[in-house]
Amino acid sequence: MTTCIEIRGLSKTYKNSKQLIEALKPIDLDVHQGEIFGLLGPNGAGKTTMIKLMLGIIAPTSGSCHILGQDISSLKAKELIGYLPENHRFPLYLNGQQMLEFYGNLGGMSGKTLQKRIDEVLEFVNMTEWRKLKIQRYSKGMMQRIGLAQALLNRPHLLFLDEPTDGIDPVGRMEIREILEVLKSEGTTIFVNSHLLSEVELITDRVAILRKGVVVKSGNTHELTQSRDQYIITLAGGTPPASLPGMTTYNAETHEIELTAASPEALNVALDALRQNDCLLATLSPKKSTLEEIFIALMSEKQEYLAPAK
Amino acid sequence: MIKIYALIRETFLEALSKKVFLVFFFISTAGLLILLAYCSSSGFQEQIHNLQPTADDPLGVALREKLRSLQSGLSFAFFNAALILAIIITSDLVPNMMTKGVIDLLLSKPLSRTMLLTGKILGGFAVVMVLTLYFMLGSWLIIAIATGVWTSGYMLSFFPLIITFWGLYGVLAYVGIQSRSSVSGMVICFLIVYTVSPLLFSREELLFQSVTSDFWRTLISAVYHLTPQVADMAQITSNIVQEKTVTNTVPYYNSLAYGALFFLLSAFSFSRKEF
Ligand SMILES: Nc1ncnc2c1ncn2[C@@H]1O[C@H](COP(=O)(O)OP(=O)(O)OP(=O)(O)O)[C@@H](O)[C@H]1O
Ligand SMILES: [Mg+2]
Repeated sequence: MTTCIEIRGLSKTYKNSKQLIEALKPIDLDVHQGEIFGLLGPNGAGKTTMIKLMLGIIAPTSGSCHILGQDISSLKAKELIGYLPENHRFPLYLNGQQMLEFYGNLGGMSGKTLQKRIDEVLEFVNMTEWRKLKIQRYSKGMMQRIGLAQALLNRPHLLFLDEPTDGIDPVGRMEIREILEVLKSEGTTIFVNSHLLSEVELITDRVAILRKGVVVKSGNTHELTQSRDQYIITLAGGTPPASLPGMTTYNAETHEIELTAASPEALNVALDALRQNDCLLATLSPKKSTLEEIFIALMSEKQEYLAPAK
Repeated sequence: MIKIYALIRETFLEALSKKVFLVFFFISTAGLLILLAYCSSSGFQEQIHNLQPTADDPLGVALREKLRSLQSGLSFAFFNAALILAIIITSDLVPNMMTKGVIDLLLSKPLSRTMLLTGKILGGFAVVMVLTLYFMLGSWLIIAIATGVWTSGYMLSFFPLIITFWGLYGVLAYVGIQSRSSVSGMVICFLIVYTVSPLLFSREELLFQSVTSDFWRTLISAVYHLTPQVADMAQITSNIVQEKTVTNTVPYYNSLAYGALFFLLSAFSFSRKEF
């Protein structure tokens, strides 16, 4: 796997008039090419600081960051990236088309090449219809889509998204997820900041969880959320015997059984036992802990989740 | 090149979207219409007719005198009005660019901070030039057509006005970057234009009446030389309109140097700001 972002000992301490705010303690991180990487963390954890450092918007207190081998402070690195900031404020007096022309020009594109690319990105984010409307009149969802279009103009190798689905309704969020999936399939590396965990879980390949400027956990999203050998069975009728092999809990109200089974055989033994007791099975699924559960546990510092990151 | 052009154009559109711009435009247009009405009134036409060159006055000196007083009145009023409005229009361009959510995105683009700031400042400058030229050209044409006399001084006074603005604009940009707000810069510029500069300009008549110590007088004179000499520029403007020779050119250099110094300071400060 090729490394897209290489971060070594990167840290940031803001100096205000009186106090020093250690927003990010020295961090090492690699983001691979072609993956969707999620940076999670509560408000004030340092997520935006991290993105701004990677974009060279703020100067690091220590450490370095390279994007596809280019130092982030070089203009060359900036030609490779696209960025959608949090709480962005696009020029309201422009329409979508003009706004894309402006940012396209700033990226060094112009003329027919730019017009053609604008048509493409507008089509891609489904905003062609609204290109002549003043941005002032855009809904939040449209604003976010035009913002994405802006970030895609230069066909970036690496896309930075800071809270891309914040304040967007579920349908809008799904649309944005779909856009990101397509980009990923085309080979774009995506670095996304979010605290909408269910969201992140659906799209990311790997995540890092940040807390007070420290990465407290990182790893493959699938592996983090899968808890092995645990199953949930819901019943449409009947009551499970108290002696059901492997059963850990039974909720009589929701008719949900949680059970542990180390092998398919063990699972089937339990199922046979249920049927013999005239239980009617409705669903059977492996138990996953959601990122949200992991996240909340981490934030309250439960030890079991604080195993060393892989 | 395309990058700087895009910045200038965008700044222009930003200014265009503002109410102050419209106010400036309407005031100018109203001024032009009033001037047009005055110049085409029968009273004025009659005066012009009576002032036509005669045997006693073959060069039409009387007519030129009349025109000069009209134009110098106009340009004095316009000099002051244009400075106020130009300061208001341009005061928030730099601070707006520095707000969260705007600057982040601009800085993520492949262009240097110096270029970003330069584009923004040139954009504001272009807006002021266009608005100023609109009124000056308009009023100049109206007067020339109504009287049949084409003068050059009035149009030339565009330069001292723009140079004065250049000096103030530097201060405005620098204070805007430091304070990240438009108000401080605006207040400072207004103070310079309407208090500090006029007081220092007529320091001999006003200040030296009560200040008698040599030390304080020297100090006041030093301050006069080190602050933007807007009042001097206003007088130069009036002299140019009246086609008098301008002997004291120091205020030009003062303004140009002020602009240059503060734009350099701005670029330096902007390149080290964190957002
Ligand atoms: N320009 C700045 N000057 C001083 N302190 C700052 C600055 N920007 C951020 N901070 C501080 O650094 C810490 C991290 O902020 P950051 O914006 O990176 O958090 P975040 O994880 O993006 O939060 P959110 O989820 O609310 O967006 C916070 O304590 C914040 O107050
Ligand atoms: Mg943030």
